[in-house]
Amino acid sequence: MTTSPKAKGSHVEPAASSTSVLLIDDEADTLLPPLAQWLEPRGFAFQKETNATQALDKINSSQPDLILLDLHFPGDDQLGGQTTGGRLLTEIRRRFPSIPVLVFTVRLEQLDIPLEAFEEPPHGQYAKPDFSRDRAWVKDLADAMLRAIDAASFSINLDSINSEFRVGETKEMRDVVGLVRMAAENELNVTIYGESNTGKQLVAKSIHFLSGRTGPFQYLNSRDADCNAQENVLQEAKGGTLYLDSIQHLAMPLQKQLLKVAADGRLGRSNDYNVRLIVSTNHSLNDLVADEVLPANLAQDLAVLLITLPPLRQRQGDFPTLFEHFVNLANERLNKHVQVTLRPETLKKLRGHNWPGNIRELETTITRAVAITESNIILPDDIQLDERGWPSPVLEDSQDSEAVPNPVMVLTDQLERLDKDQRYRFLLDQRDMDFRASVLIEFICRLRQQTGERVSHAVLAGAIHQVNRTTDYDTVRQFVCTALKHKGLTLTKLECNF
Amino acid sequence: MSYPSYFQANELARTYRKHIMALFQAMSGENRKLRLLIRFCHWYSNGESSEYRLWGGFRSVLDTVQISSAKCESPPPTLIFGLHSPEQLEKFPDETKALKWPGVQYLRYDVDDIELVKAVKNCLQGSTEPVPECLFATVKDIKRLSSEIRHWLEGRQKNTNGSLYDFEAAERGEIRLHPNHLDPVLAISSEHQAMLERFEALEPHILRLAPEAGELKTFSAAIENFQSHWQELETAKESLRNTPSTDFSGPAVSQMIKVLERVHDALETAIVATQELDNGLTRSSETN
Repeated sequence: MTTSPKAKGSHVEPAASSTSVLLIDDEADTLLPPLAQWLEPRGFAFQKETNATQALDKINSSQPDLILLDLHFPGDDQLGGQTTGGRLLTEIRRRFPSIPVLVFTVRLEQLDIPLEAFEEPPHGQYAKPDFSRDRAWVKDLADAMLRAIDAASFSINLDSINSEFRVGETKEMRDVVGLVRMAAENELNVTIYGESNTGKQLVAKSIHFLSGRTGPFQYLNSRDADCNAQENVLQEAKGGTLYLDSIQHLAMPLQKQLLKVAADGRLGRSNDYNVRLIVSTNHSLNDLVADEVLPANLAQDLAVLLITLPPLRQRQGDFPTLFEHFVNLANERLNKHVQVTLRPETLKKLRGHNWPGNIRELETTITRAVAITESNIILPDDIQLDERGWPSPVLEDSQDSEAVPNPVMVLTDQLERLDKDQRYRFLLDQRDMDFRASVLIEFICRLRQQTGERVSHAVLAGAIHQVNRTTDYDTVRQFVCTALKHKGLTLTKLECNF
Repeated sequence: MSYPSYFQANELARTYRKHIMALFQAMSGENRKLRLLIRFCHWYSNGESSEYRLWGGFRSVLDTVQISSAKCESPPPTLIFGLHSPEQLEKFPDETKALKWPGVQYLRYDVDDIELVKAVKNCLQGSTEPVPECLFATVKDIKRLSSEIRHWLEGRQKNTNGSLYDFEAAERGEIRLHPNHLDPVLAISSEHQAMLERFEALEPHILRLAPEAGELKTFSAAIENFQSHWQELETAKESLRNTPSTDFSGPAVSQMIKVLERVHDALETAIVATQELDNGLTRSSETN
């Protein structure tokens, strides 16, 4: 603790087990007294550092539980771009990734100097207190510090559960972490939304392991047609967690059983079944009820806690973390020594892509880059992207298991093999509107790639139907418009992606 | 800051300077002592400390040029060393605009001795030319600096309030003061002092750009006032530290509260002075 040896007073010293906080601020000398006055009795012990150049040494020697970091130091006006605190933050996160940092600054909107430091979100931000007389700030700041410490330790726990799970630094993923933690602390049913390869299964596993359940984690892909196998999985989940992927494909008989599990955690007449239920889907539960895919009471029981996983394109701040992780993995796999340095131009290229395949696509892309690069660093040319980009119906459909062939791809392959006059009927036979739309979009994408030309309604009608009358054309056009609308698309919007 | 200590830019600059002086004297036959500054492309340096910043070397040279020209002094001839080729530099005209004054020359680290001496001569000759107006501090430069100063003053004022409320609570007997409240603290740290000196050195530019904004007298007086009250504060703290009693109450605490209020007011005056200066600069730039 930082106190003057000459100072006197009968102030209560913090307990030996207090939370150590390092305050890095050019005004730490004047900021520390009120903080210490009110927060030491709450179990925080403060150290201070006013010099940014010595801050890293101080962190290294003191290994604090938390860092409160000011963004601005004298001289920051002399150069545009990142502030001293911003650069320090980057370095802290590189060298001390397990120490949470709470950026401690005046209100952001009051600043009129560049704030590129926020390009990569920190562990948290907190406006410096106004030190009101009522001391309302004390609890707020204490809570913010504890939250940051919790989030960081939770992130470490998640990493240890599964090295593939990278929480990252974006607010969206931090929110997910909070929800996972909340889910782990209670027995509520959880529904996880997210595009393919966003990590739904990993989140489900994390909830299971963090919840301390002694039973197994059972995975069930609802597409598996074998009802007996599905029922076996239900039985085997006893005492553990049952994770149902793609809930919209669950067979009707099992829905009834699931209803009982969802309602009171029981299966059949067994009183000691006690299963935690987690399901995932890429559809709105409301839509599934409206389309009579799920009974309303089951949907209500499932939708107690909702966790939405953001697609990679909405986690741009996580690219540096994910890049480093996947380069390390690829180095290990390929026995190479490519540096984990992410050059700005490479980052720009990664950010410019839509990543319809989310994390898995990123991993594949980086592994390929590590394999082909001729230097010891990944350059933009090494990043080979699938420029067809969004929207790829393959990836719109939820499927976390690599072993299961993607039905949209399979159906589109079948569609392509059919004669033109059979294709329209084939599409009509796809009763699931989502599947139908996905297959049609995939078909359009392939057609666009094969011909290299814009796919108009006339061209498409000609490709899926032997059109010879105006009425036929109108019918097919209407069919296409309805199917695309289901995905919020039009042919023009699709064309914009080529 | 975040770079290894083995690269001491200032130390390296001294080594370079020594080598260049010896080389220049040997090759040109001139024995005069050169007034030559050495800087490195991405290291901001103020002569006392250095810090890695992209294009920081150019920026520190520009600062020197701006302050010297504001004082109607001739800036020192300067050599900047870096890894970039001159063609690469052309892609960064804003960052490297200090090169517009011929007293500043850029060289790659691998320059040969002949080119080096030639550059030194050009640099010395160029330094006799006046600094072009495009390098003078702009309204934006000054406003950024005043904003930085205001940011510091507001932070100090906020923290002062924190201490003030704690002393008030102690006076009412509600709390026992934390010992940190009596720690000695400098009124202005050396880094903040450098920031203020740089601001005050730009006064001629402020008058040139915004005559109606006025001189920095009000601001400087407020800062002096703040320093003197802070000194009072330190004296009061020392007296409390030396008090045999362990009870922080009574007249000494009342005295502290009065001094803290005066510090707060002095800071407020300085903050208002920077705001008025900004307003004057804005009005002038809109008029022009």
